[in-house]
Amino acid sequence: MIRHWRLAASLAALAALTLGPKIALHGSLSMLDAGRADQLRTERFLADNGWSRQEAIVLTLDGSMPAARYARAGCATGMTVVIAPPRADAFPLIGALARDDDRIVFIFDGRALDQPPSNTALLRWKFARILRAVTATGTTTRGDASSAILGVVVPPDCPAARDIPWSAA
Amino acid sequence: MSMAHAVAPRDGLAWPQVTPWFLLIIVANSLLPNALEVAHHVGWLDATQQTFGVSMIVVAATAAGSLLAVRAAPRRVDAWDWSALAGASLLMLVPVAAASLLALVAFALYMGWRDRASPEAVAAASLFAGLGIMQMLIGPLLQLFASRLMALDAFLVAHVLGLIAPGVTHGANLVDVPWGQSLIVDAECASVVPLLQTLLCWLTIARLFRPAWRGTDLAVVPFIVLPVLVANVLRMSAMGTSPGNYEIVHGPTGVYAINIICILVAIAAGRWTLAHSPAAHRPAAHDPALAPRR
Repeated sequence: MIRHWRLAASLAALAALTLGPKIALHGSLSMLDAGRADQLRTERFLADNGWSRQEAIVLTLDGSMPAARYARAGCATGMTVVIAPPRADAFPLIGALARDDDRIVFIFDGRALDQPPSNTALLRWKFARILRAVTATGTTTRGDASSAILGVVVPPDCPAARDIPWSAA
Repeated sequence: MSMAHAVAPRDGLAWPQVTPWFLLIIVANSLLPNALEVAHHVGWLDATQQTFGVSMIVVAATAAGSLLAVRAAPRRVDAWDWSALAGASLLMLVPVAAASLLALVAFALYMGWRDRASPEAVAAASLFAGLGIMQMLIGPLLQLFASRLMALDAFLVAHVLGLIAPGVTHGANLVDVPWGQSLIVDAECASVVPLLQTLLCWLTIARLFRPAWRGTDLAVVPFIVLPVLVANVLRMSAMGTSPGNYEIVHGPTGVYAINIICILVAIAAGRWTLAHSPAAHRPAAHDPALAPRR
């Protein structure tokens, strides 16, 4: 039982001051919205570079990793693009899509990588997001330009994939 | 428990008057963002079943921890306490749940260390620190570093499914089942999640009914790990037997089943822990009235 009204008032103020921004951040953009935004951003980026979406690929029943095949001149069979959460448990599924002679490119934090980002890189990225959230008042910690990893499975007969400016994705 | 423990010193604010409420605020800051996110998508009722952060086990652990903090031996709030409160408050101001989790663990450890002579304070600190550490493990740490744990789950599931029919292969956290439903073991499904839930439930039961720790308490942990691991691997294996079974076992039915199994294991482990701790062993040094007479 709280016996001191000053203590009660202080605790109430502390609760309002600390919980308020978190609730406000939640209201700004939900995780589902962020996932959808990633999908739209990727589609727009590839369309701007001349790629057309061929078919959606169902990788997970809950739709947590949307994937699609994209094609253009110079890549008739098409490349597969997976939008994955930035978590180590998502990478094997992307790898499983590739055949022996396919190449996998991971687009993460504005860079194209031949290997999945390391745990250290993921941790550094998460810290950077936290710092951004702390220093930019009102900016959500989710849904900014780099909230997902793109896994791109490129077949050998797809030279056009080399020309994509992934750093702008 | 004697109510004398909750009486404040006459000449100032008592520490046990502050800590329960302060800890509740830290817990709310730690869990609310994720709870709102999940509840937004699946509703509060389902969220309590599907999310560790808002599960009934977490609510029970928080309530038990607060009760124990109220019952801790009274003393005046001193300068060190104000510093700890200020530090934790600053961390809570960071609009990221991880910072609040850090505040929860740090403040609970401070409370347990400062009031280590009071079994109730140590028990409350154990529960809140355990809750914070488990949240960290299930959250960012699990997502980043648990590839091997998930690969172990996939290995076990593939071998169980291999007993039903041949042709099952696995690699990393993937299980390919040509005759059933292929699976990806993700951070939410990994056995470590129900395992930590069960450990927290057991800790809540044990500390609520017997606050004082004993060295033999941890002996029961392997008997919690084994049944929960077996139950979760069997659950994931059932998901792989067919797309229809996946829907049932992955959905609310499967979630309720694994939750009930976890709670039953925790109750059994809690009973074992309490049964191996006779009341006469309970320390009562901070309350002479409860000390055994010679």
